[in-house]
Amino acid sequence: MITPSNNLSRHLPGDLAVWMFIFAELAVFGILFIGFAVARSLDPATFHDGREALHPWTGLLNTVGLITASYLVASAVHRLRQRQTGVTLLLWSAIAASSIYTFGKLWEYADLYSSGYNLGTDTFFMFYFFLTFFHFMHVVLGQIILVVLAIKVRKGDYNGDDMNGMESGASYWHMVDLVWLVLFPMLYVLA
Amino acid sequence: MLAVYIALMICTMTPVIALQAGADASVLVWLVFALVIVKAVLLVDHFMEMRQAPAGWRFAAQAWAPVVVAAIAGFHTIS
Repeated sequence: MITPSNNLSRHLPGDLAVWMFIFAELAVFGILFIGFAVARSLDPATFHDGREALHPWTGLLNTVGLITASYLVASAVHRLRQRQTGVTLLLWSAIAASSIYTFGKLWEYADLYSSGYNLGTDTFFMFYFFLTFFHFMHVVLGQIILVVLAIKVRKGDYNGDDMNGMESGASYWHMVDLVWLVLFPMLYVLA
Repeated sequence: MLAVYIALMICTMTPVIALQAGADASVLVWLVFALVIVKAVLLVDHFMEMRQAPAGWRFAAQAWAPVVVAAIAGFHTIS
């Protein structure tokens, strides 16, 4: 239960500006997802056929990569706060785990494109390529942020005294993961 | 933290395995909606550390997935 006294010790992890950015991003993704749901309700057969052309195991592997990366980033934040060692290794491991997603997604794009699917194929693939590529770009930005965090921790710029930068980067990364948790079943299971 | 990670993995794999096993589509859909909300709440509270954030921020972050999922479920139901 939240009381006035323990509410004082509560704090938003990361910078306020980053959270404004995160909520703006979530709003945009939310509107796009609802647009997908509306389009699907108007033409369920096309969306069902489109889903059949996707590889659910690739989607699952991508999800495992992103969730693993999120776990490693959360562990890195915890270890830095406790001034423990191994933070840099955890961040590089998170980048490696998230690369499962980036390479998996690139392979999937190449495979679908070689099979004749593209943005103009039908409404499902228009949404599929637009939504997943929009999310893909966010993942790539998140990976760049994780690289910067790893370098800064290595140099000693982040040492547990001021967690703002580390928490901000981690919050952005978790937002990318949160979006994928909705996007993955929407495209690969429900469509 | 590890327990949350394992729970997220189980919640992620369950619908895909059920789909491959030929589970009833109408049941699967609602299972997916429920699991997405569970996963989102776990991620927001534990990985994003919003359980330690001021109540309003925590509520806003937690509400995103249920609101979006409710809208998707609504359109899914009428199709």
